[in-house]
Parts: sequence; C-alpha cells; structure tokens
Amino acid sequence: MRLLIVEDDAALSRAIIKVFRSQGLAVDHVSSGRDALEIVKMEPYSAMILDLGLPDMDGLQVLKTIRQAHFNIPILILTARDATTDRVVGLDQGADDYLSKPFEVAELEARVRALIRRGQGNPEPTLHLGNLKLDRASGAAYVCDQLLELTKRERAVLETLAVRVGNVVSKARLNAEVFSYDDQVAPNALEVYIARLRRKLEKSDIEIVTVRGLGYLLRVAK
Amino acid sequence: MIQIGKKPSLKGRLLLTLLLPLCAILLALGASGAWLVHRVVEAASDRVLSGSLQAVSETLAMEGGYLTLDLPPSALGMLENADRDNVYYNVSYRGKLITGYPELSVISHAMPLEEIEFRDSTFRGIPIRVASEARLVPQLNSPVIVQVAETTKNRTALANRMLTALGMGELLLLITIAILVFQAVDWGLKPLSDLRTEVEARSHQPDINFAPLPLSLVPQEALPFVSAFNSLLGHVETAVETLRRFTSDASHQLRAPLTVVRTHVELLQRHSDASPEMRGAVSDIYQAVRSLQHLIIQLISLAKAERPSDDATGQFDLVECTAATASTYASRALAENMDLSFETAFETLPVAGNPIFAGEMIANLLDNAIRYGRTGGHIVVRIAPDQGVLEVEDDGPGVPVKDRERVFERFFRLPQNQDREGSGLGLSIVQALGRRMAAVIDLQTPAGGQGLKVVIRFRPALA
Repeated sequence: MRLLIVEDDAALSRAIIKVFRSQGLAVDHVSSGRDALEIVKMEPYSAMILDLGLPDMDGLQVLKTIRQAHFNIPILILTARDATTDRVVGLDQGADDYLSKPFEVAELEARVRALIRRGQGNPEPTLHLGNLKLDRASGAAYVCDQLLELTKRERAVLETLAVRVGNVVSKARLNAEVFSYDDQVAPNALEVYIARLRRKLEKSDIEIVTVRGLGYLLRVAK
Repeated sequence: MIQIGKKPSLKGRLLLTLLLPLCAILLALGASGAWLVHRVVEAASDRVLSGSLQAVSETLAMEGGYLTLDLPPSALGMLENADRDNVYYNVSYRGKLITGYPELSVISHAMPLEEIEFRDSTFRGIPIRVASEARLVPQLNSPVIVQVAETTKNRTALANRMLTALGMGELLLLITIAILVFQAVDWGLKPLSDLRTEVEARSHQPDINFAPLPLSLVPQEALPFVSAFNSLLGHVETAVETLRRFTSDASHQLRAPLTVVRTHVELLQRHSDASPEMRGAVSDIYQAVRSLQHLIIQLISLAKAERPSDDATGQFDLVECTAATASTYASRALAENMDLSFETAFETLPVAGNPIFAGEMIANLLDNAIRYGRTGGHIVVRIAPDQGVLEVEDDGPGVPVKDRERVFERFFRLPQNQDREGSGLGLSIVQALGRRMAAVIDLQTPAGGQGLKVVIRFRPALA
C-alpha cells in the first residue's frame, strides 16, 4: 500500500514519513501542489495526506483538480487553519477527512488507516477493544477468544457502542439502532439490554458506563 | 451624566456674562424710570392743584372796600381723592394774612403776576405741596397772594404704585431671560446630548462600533471637537484591529512549528531503547508542548470570539447543543474519575445566538470543571426550568467570592491552580462569546455549598 504525503514543511514531513514507514507503508513525499498533481497520476496511491498551506497553490485547489479529474483516492486534509468554514469547504470539495495541526500522531495513524480501509471497500471488519473482539461480518463477539452468547438485540447494542468507543451514544440513537418502528418497546427495554450486556461482559475489560442524561459510553477499563 | 459642581458650567458662564450687564442696564433703567415717574406724577398732581388754585383766585373781588373771596365747593372738590388728602389755603396781602390757615407761611417777597409757583413744605410736620399765585384785584395797587396746599399722600401712593409696577416688570424681565438662557443652552446642547446617547449606546454593544459619529447632527461650533473625536476613533479602531490580527496571526504561525515539535516528540516516546532520563525528559517536553498547544488554541479562540462579525445572530436548540457538547467531554470526565451528568427541564429550548459559540462556551466551562474540579467529584450540566438558563456545576474547590470578577480577566489564574495545566483564558473566551450573543454569565456557589456553579442566561429566540 502506498501513501502520498503533500506537505511543504520538511521537518514535519520527515516525522510523518517516519510514522507511516514504520507501519510498513510505502510513502512518497512532495512539497508542492504542482508535484502532487503530477505524481498522483503515476502511482496507485491508497491514500493521500494533503496540507492546505502549500507554497505554489492552495491545497483546496489541488483537491478540486484531483476530484475534477475523477481520481477517487481517499484524501485527508491537514491544516493549521481550523475555521469551521474551511472544514466544511474542504469536505464539500471532496476531502474524506480533516485534521487540524497540531494533531496527535496516534489520531493521524488511525484516520489514515481508516481511509485506506474505506478506499478498499472494507470498513473495519473486526473490532479489537481490549480483550473483546467483534467480527462485524458474522456478528460474533469473543472475550479472550471465547464466544459470547448474545441475542440479536444485545449484539446490536454492543456493536453500536463499540464502533463509537470512548464516545457517548444517546439513548435515542441506541433505540433507533436496536428497535424497529413496529417493535413494541417497553420504556426501560434498553436499560434491560444494557444490564444483561454488562453481566455478560463481566469477565472482559470492557465497561459500559451510564452518563446520566446523555446516554451510554463503552470504554476499555484501565 | 455631565458632572455639575466644580466643572465649568456653560449655563453659569452664560448667565454670568449675560446677567451682570443686564442688571446694570436694568438698574439705570429703574433709576431713570423712577425719576420720570416722579416727574409725571408731580406734573399731573400740580395741574389739578393749580386748577383748584385758579378757581379760588377767580373769585377775588373788592366789594365796599373789602376784599371778598368765595370758596366754591368745586374748587376744593376737585382735590378730593381716595387717599383723602387734606386741603389748606390762605390769602395774604402785602405780607399779611387776610384769611385761611395761618400755618401756611405767608409769602412776603415779590411774585411775578399771573404765574403759578409750586413748592414743597410741611404743615404741622406733614409734607405738603403748595401752589401760590399773585393776582391783581381792581382798586388794590399790590397783588393779592393766594395759596392752596394739599398733603402728598395721594401723589406718593401713585408714584409708589408706578414704581412697584416698574420694579415688577424689571424683575419679570430678569427671570424670563434667565429661564431663556437655560433653555437656550439646553436646546443648543441638544445635538451634543444626542451624540452622547449615540456614544453610550455604542459602548454597550458587544462589538464596539468604531464608525465615525454622524456629522449631520453636530452644531457648527462643536464640529472641530467631533471631527477630532472621529479621527481618534479611527486610530483606536486601527489599533484594536492590529492587535486582534496580531494575536490571531501570531497564534496561527506558532501552530506550524509546534506541530513539528509535537509529532517528533510523540515519535521519540515510541522508542523503547531510550534511557530512563531520556524518557523523563521527552515526557516533560511532551507535557510542555501540550500546554503550549492548549494556550495557542485558546488564544486563537479568544481572538476569534472578539472579532466582530454577524454570526452571533440567529437561533438554535440549547438542549441539543448542550447535550452534544457535554457528550464529547464524558470520556475525559470518566478518565478523571468524575461523574458527568446532564439534566434538562425541556425537550427542546430555542434560544438566540450561534450554536458554535454556545458550544464553545459550554466546552470551556466543562474543560474548567474537569481541569480544576475534584477527582472523583460530580459535574452537572443543567438546562434549568427558567427560560434560557444553562448551568454548569461542579463540587470542586470553587472560586472565592472576591475573585469572581477577576477570573474573567485574561491570564488570571487562581493561586490554588498555579501548578495545574491551563491557559487562564477559558472564562475570558466564555465571556467574550457570551457578550456577542448578549448572554449573561454569573458565577455562584452551588446549593451544596461547595464548588462552582456557572449560570449562563441566553436570550430567548425570536418567535
């Protein structure tokens, strides 16, 4: 897999290159918009990291030109600007993700990984969270490689929470994911499923936390 | 308000310069008026007195060697008046009294004929006016002198009435002018007070309007002052704008090198072959870079919050905005062992403002609550039953009442938090954003008596 980095700051480029080479990716680096437009046609890149502040042209212009030429390469925009309008314009013009400087290296890695997977049409087939493994294709969940006995709805709750690990998922959102419109849902049905899930996850290092008034949050206990 | 007192007052000055000469003029006018009144009253009264005198002297005649005199009632009747002046008369010949009151002194000197003389005198100590005439009577070779006198009560009273009227008139004039001066000054200063209203209105706006004051309102005399003020406004605007742009530009410029440092430090942390000293140093650098990054982001936020723009108008759902922002802080609170919860009295609550601004306000308050709150403590975000009131409450050490104004100052940090990471800008940002949406921010002590409750009152959305 090949990654293209378009960044004019040499010191930052060296760091980013190091990050992704250490992961076994082939990384190419250019520092101007013109070079980027040249090289992107020549190699089948899996993803591209694009800085907006380039010396010869605006990164948004590079993005626009690539999309107009119908290249579907996943692009992550990297910028020191953080105005919300910039972000919206960037995503409108066909960027797949957006990260503002300074960023956390782990975050950049995760986003680029996700971009590459999405480009391959295979979004996160298996989720690993602590000692929990969730196979999204089959729907099976394992703790320490032991299959968990889950009902269909318990699995739906777990999966909804797991893909948003560390984030609060509102009750309304969970209800919408788990129950269909014609289901006769008792007011506390969700609480019941959460309680059952917690019992079944007792042996794992996964924790489902109630955030009062907001919803539930799944996290890996320390 | 304009300070009255030791400050020079326009009205005072105008009154002084106007009223002093006016008083002098009125005094001179009064003096000449009094003289004139005196003359007029005397002339009129003397004419009546002389009429009465002539009526008496007309009746002088010689009958059988005797000088006779008839006193027609009309002669003395015409002297009758409201003040009941007394009338006296006498007739003398060659210095000898013939008839009448002897107390009227007899004239012995020669008098021109057919001419009436007037003089002031006294009769038993009372002032009187005397008219005298020398008249030739047939068969007598010397003139007979007739005198008629009256007390002066009536003419004094008449003169006094006229003088009083004159005095009243002058006083009225003085008062009228004083009132007119006051009103004229107020009226003349009205355009300036309009300008003041305009300036005051501007200082209450969230973004100070540096546009020049409209010169159409300004009276010609104040034009140079207002023009100078306008050019000062222009300078201030440039200075404020330069400062804002500098803060924003400088912060943006700092981000690029900071990104390089941060990324490399994170990579260094991954090297397992580093010595413990090296790890410690890298970890310290990493912490410092993170706090520097926080500071820069806060500086940019503040510069943005203070930059004038129109996006503060509009409306949004406070419940949705608050829940969304609080959700993003849940995992950080959990990591600090804190219990974050959200309570709302409404399903939806439309308020006036910009959801991004409001979200940033709530985010800063939650950041503070987590940063400075109590480990293992509680944070409650609450949409209160009062219209448009949002509360963020923690049970940490709180803010002493004496510091509740100062915590909104930039870079002010409580002594108890000096050793914690933080920029000292959070509440400044909250205040700046609140001001843009005309939301009111208040710091209180929670019902539990411990911690801090930040209350934000948003304006209700326009229906």
